[in-house]
Amino acid sequence: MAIELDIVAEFLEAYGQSGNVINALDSALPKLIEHIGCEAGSFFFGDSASSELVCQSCAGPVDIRGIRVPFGSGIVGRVFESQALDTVESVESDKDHERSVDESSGFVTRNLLTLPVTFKDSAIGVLQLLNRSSEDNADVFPMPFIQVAKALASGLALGYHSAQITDQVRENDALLRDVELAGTVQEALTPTIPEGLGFAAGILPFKQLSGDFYDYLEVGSRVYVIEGDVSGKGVAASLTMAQAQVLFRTFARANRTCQEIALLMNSELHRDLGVSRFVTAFIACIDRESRVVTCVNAGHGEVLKLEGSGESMHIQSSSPPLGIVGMSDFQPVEETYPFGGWRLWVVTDGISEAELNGAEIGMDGIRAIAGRYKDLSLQEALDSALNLIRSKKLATRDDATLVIVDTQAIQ
Amino acid sequence: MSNTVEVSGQTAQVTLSGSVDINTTGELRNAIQAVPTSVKSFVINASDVSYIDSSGVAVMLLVKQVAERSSASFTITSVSPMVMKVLELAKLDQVFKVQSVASQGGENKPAAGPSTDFSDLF
Repeated sequence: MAIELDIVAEFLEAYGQSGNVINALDSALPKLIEHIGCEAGSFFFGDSASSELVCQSCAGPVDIRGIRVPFGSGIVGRVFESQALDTVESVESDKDHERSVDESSGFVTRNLLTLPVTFKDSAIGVLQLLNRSSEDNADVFPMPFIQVAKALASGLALGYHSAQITDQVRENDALLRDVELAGTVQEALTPTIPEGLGFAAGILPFKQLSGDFYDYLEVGSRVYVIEGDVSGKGVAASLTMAQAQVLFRTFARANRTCQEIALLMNSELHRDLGVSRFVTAFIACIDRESRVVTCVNAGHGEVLKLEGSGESMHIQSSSPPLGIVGMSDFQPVEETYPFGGWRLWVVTDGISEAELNGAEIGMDGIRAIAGRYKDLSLQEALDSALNLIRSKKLATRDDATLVIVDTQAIQ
Repeated sequence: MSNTVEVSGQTAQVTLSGSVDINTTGELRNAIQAVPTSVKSFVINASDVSYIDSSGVAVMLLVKQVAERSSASFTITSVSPMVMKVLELAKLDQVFKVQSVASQGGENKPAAGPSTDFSDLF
């Protein structure tokens, strides 16, 4: 028995070293059949994609690797379906014996032991040992022999299961690396805002990939700014985000009005995004020559305009988000505000829906925060507001993005 | 609380409830896309929704688009006040015609108001 166990142990060790269960079996199977006096052995893997059993490893005079047997056919098919060990002492009397395999290979099967290879309740394949020589009238497949074969089948199942887990981990690792890379790309697409342009912006992603974004482009005397929120999360949302940023830059570079930029972005996104993905956006243009700020709110929720006097108003959305409706139904309204002592607080729902003591702060909370920090510099006000999320005084479960426009900060 | 799609005859009833967000809409999207093209009427009931994010709104848009693809009718029979607020804020009330807003429903989270004391924040 010690030698048989050695064979199983060698198989497991070979698998551990190579990480390839078939290579390990190729090495173990010849030793096993030689030791227990069988003429041949084979392993059939149950391929659920093709509903066939495929011979992946064999030992003996004939190489049958690659042979395929439909589920339910032959003795291997019978054992794979029943998941019960099967001994056939004379194949002549077994109706399921596939004679065509013998005929094509020239191998003559006399007797065989077929074992299911399973892990927990999951069927992996079958192990088959053929033509055991027995002395006189002794059992062809005595119990010690069956136990060794069972041990090898268990080792094989364990190896297969480990291989599947390893593949899964490798795939997950690859996916994590992709997400990490996408996060790095996204970070690179998020610009640092120079001082003196008349606005500040910051973003706190809730997870590795954000669905929120902001961007800007300086074109002559104009500074175009966008804050957006893409529906959904993850890699798909981040790709849409990148597309929206490219569209924004393209149309802003052409010195379009905010309304035109929104119309053109909507048209492109409506054509490309397909089923139910959209982008809420607030687009502003700080025109240092004509000294006005123009803006369009496309489904982005309310924007706070806080006067130096403390009075405030909300800039409402004038159209659905970008990408949902076609051109004829998309009619955003552009608003114009002369330079003055006011600030615009543009937030995504990660901030407006953040909670203080279990209650959503809403626009009243934004108004309170903007009022509290109105005497701070633009950058200090932005940092202080985002610190409320960082310090968890405000609890959020979404990306949090803030853009503050302040024309008095233009240098 | 769960989100369901039930097909009965030529009608698909989509019921949204509780939290309708990125974590609860994955299977729902598959179920909506699997509705047979023989269905001639899609009905959404969102009267018991306590929270909806952009993924939830996207699901409502998906139902609308699947209905349009099948030349089927599309109706939102009822939404919770929370859903209506989101639709109005994003001007999606231009896209969705809602038949009624439930007077209550969805166990709405408390929201701060003008009289809320925000001094805890600072």
